[in-house]
Amino acid sequence: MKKIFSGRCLWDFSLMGEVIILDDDLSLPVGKCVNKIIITHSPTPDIIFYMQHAVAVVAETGGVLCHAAVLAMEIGCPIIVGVGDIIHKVENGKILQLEGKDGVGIAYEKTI
Amino acid sequence: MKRQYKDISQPIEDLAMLVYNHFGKKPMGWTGIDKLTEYAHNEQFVRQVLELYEYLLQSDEFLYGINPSQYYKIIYKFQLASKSMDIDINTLTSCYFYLANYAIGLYNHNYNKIKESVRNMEFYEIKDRMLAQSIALLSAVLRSYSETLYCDEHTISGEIYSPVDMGDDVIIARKYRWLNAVELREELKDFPYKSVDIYVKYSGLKIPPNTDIVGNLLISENLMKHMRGFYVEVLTVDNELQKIESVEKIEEIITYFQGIIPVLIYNYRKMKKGDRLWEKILCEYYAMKPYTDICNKDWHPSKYTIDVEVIADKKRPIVYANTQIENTKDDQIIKQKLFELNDPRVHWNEKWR
Repeated sequence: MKKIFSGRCLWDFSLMGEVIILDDDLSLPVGKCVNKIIITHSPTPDIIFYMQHAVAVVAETGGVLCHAAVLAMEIGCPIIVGVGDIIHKVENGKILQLEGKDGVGIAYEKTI
Repeated sequence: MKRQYKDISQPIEDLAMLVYNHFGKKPMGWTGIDKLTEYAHNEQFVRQVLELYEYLLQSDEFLYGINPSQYYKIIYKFQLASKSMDIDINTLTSCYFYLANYAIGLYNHNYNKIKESVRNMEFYEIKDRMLAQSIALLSAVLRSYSETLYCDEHTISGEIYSPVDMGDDVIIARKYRWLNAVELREELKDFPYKSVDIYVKYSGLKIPPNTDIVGNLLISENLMKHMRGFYVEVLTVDNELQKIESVEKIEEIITYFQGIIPVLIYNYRKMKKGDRLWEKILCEYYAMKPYTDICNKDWHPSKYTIDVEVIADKKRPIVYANTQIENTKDDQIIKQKLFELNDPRVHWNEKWR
């Protein structure tokens, strides 16, 4: 599997999902994020309403104590934060394998 | 009242930097205002903090209205804001140290009170995943709401006390208040809740989660899988204390927040940068409101022209005593002193030893 990006995570996890890119204005309908891996830059606190339906969240900015990570922690949603500039590297619909281990989250490209 | 802390003697900005460097915190600002410059012009805020310090020095009772973690944020911002003012070094440093220690004392005091009160609480059992999800989502929307309302400054409203040891179980108390801040946002004129307290019982956690000095919960596993019980209390704007027992009632509260949070954020997005800055200044004064209320003072800052260009100037000169504080840095000594504090929130990180 090809590694796409990495960042920090809160706990161990292993999951697969389809990417949906969410802009910071959260202009997408919530329904489009159901069971998806949300990739975002620096979201506002109302991302919680998207997060609750997602399989995981990836944020370009922030650390393990940023507000997005705290919200994810509260609802038990896996999150990888601080992955840097990656939105241009992925596209909606891409399948990713996310692995979280010992505080490090890695995304791999999944070919089916 | 006996103070429950040891003294520390380091500038608080260094403590704040430790939070960022050693607690692994990286900023994720959503407010569109540069964190290092947003407060630096606000002389009114500095005067308020000095008055608060004088008041606390003379008072025998704890001032409960300001959350412990909020004291750290107040003094951090105080340090930033005082950079452009001519205040002598003794006044500045005394104020920093006193408020930092006061915060620790207040946290410990509240923590012990919670530890006593949870013994008599009747927790509702969490038998299914759906109920666990609802409780978790309630905690999350309250955090989201307080962050939205107070422009990234959730500690004005929220404080987390953890871990409250109950034998085989651990309780995490999440306490949110000042939720109906109608003076800040007129959208809240029909807001129904003053405060919400959430107590959640967890079993089987490998490491009981602590909080850091600015109120963040520090975890290493998915908490939701370990939820076993809950106790939720809501205080309405009519001062009616309601015990929340059903999923339906929890969902009702969540639904309310689902409506109001996007409205607040949408309206914030429409604001110009100067107005956003003004909103943050109002938040600072709301942070001080528990103090000004006690003293029957008018807490509102006077609005003056906000020159965003001046505020954004990072090369703005630092004056007098503050330059000495800026130059006082010895990481190892500060870490050691932090570890000596009688503050359970510092002790989570054994690597500091």
